[in-house]
Amino acid sequence: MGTLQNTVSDIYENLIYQARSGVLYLEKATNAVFTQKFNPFYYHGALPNFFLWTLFVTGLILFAYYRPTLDGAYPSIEYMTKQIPSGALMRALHRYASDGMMIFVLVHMFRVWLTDRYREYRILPWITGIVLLVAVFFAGLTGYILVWDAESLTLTMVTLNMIKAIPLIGTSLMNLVIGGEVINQLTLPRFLFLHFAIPVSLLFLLFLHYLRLTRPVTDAPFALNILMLGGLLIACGLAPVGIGMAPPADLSSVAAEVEINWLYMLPQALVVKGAGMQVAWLVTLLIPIILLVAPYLQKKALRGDFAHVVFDNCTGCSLCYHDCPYEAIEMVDRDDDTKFKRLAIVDPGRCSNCGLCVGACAFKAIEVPRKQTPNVMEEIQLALSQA
Amino acid sequence: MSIVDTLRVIISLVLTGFALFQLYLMLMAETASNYNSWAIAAGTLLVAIGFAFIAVDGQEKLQTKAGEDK
Repeated sequence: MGTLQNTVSDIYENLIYQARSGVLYLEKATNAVFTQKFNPFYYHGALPNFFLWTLFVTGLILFAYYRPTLDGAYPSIEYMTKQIPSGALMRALHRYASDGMMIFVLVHMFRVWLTDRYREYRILPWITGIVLLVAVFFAGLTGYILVWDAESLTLTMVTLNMIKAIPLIGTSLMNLVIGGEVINQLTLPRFLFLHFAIPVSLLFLLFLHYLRLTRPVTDAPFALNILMLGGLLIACGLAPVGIGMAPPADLSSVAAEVEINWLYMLPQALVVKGAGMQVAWLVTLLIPIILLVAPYLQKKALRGDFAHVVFDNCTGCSLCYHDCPYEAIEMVDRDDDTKFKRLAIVDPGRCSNCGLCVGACAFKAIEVPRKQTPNVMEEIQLALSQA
Repeated sequence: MSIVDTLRVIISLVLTGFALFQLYLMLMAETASNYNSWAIAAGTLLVAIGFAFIAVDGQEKLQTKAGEDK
């Protein structure tokens, strides 16, 4: 069993190494165009925020005109597209900003994954990141349903059939989503609620996502944001989002053809292409499961060790506790034969091995194994003697 | 300024020229009410401005000592 696990780990680490080399080469090539200061790959985590704010602004404008009823949804979108100045532009911006957000979220995820910045003390951002990815997926999916044209209806029916196929709770869950046993006047308000509630919940999830990160980069430089906005506008002009490409939804006839957006409709696309419910659910569940398991597939950490407290020297002053940015140090009561009442304890799962605590401690009571104080002092002395 | 930096400035100028030319054509052809044309022209102009920022501010300098750029 142990040998098999080692083999799997070796194969996995080799694949990750090869992919990482490719990504780093691509980033280096991108530097030639954007320079190191403005390389979008270095703002992969911040750029989704730009798209998120674009979605909030355009979404609020669209909400002012949207009517969430079976008879009113399509005409209201037609009205805002054809009659309201810049209405079509707002729709297009909303649509392409959602695509842009999903693309950069995926870039962010793969970059973090391949450069090994997703486990140990970074496990919380990774887990919350997976939840955020799923949330963005559902927000986009409900957005497509709200248009309520023939394609939306097909998408809705496929999605509802997928929900219904869940054993035991499928039918109840479907009834909860659409507000009854069949599509009715409560259905679109519920999808609209989900379309609002999910992005708003993203803000709370983002807080958790950033909680354990030191100095997270949440905003891209002005020049990059301008570039992205320009790119969005060009996309809006070249491929306008119009109404009339598909007729309004008609509950008596579900259209078979649906324009697939692979970013948001992968499971539904599989069903439409004839893959079957089981395959669609397998893919839907397998992707997040693989992402959740990935941090545990590597047998050893790249950073390895964590800080150790030298109990005899620790006075319980809590300087290291206050300085640790990862909240990896806990102060506990001590009951041994010393005059000190408190003791610092390191949580290995949270320690990044950064060494800040070593600098904070005035009593040489905490050490980072690879950078022991005597060794560091020797290095400093050596460097000074050679200067 | 290196050749690459100069190229970035040239690209931003070309993009600006293209955007302004497109605006001119749009106004001459009386298609100013077409949002698609506005979006493309404005988008190109924004990309040009963004690239101009990068060209001016993103020059790659490796500072080795105080006051000395390499």
